[in-house]
Amino acid sequence: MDHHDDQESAKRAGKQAGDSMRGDERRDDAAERVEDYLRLEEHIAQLQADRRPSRPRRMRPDQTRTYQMAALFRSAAPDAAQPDAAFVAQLRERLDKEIRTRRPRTRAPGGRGVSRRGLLTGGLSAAAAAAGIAVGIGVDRATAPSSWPAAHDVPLVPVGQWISVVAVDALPMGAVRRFVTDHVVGFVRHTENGFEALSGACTHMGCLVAWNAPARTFDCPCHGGRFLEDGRAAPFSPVSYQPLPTIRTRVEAGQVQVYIPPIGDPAPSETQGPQNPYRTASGRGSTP
Amino acid sequence: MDSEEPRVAAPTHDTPRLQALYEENVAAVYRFVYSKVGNREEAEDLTSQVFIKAVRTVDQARDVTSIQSWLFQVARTTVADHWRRFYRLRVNSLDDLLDAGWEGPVEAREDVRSFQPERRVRRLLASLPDRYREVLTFRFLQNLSIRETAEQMHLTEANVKVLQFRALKKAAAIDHADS
Repeated sequence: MDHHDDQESAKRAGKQAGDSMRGDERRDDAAERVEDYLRLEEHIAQLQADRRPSRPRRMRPDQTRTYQMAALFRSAAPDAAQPDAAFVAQLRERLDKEIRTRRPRTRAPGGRGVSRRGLLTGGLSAAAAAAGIAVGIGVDRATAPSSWPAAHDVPLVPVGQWISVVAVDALPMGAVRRFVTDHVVGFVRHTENGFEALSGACTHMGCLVAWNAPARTFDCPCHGGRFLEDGRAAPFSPVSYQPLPTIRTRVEAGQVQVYIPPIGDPAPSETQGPQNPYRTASGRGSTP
Repeated sequence: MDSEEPRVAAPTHDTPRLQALYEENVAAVYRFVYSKVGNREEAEDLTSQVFIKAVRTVDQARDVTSIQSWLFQVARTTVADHWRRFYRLRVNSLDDLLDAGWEGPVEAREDVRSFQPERRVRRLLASLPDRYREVLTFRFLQNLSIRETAEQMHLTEANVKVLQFRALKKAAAIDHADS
């Protein structure tokens, strides 16, 4: 029997290791049992497969610490502790729904819906349900692209407004600068045509794109979408999404300003103009 | 009653803040949780729980820094709760939680963004005897199998299992003594 052989060899190994170890090491082996070695190895193997480990038998606090140490060391493995992009996107969608249905006070509802405790402790089934919801939302989004904030039934800004994002002097020709307003994350660029701005939310599922300076592209961390600096999907992008929405700009008192339009009206009449008409994510022009 | 409550949308200023909270902290929270559970399945599950709790209960009046500390606090208690179930610790016993390695709420000011488990790992490795450090480096940092580690260290596979057990146990003792 494998298990038996395993036990026997581990027993021998334990003894050999003890024999060959120096003083401080040997002191550590007090009260160890062969099962302890094997059980921990089983646990480590599950961690390394990135799977939920089986629950150990009841153990003493010092024993649990050994297991927790295995988790800590596992997290130092190359790339182990980076969240998966698909997971980040799914959770974003899940939270999006959560935020939209947020109540001022959340208590476990007796009648309808899922209790909070059930959701929080439901483990796999809750996770599966969440994933299902996320997929549904993802499809919706894909057919009606919009940045994450715009998906809400809540107005993000009551009226459109101009917001200064960078000093003209600080943005030389060719430069690209990220900006964050209360409601929009985007990029402002100094081009031959003047200052232009783009929404920084990927038109796929709303992940925030990052400026890749060497390649001069906007790269989405979630599903690998890439956009040229003018916002169009790059020809070499693994997936070709709708262009990043442009945001209207102007210069005022030495500052580059971006126009954050009222939500629900992505193409307000005042956004018409020779430079940078505000475009919806689906690529329609703003001019009525 | 609860079911009679009208659906109230979050105030205008709140939604983007919650979204930003997620975007800016999801990687750090995941890293923190991962360092406590050591596998992707549970790390994803617990990270989801942390943020779902966060958007449901966040106090909008908090400023950004305080929201981050609070988020980290939610992450800690979520992990502690998980451990309690995983190791079948007695419910409601703070002592058990502390014994099990829960650092408690006092360090909530630690910045979730700067949490670096790798640093703690390096520090522990540096304070271990050579052979313990080697076996943990091969097994975890280099992700070698038992067999590969045995070859590297000229040991039997069974020896490696014993050695890694003792190395982790020792590291745990050092870590516990430090805290």
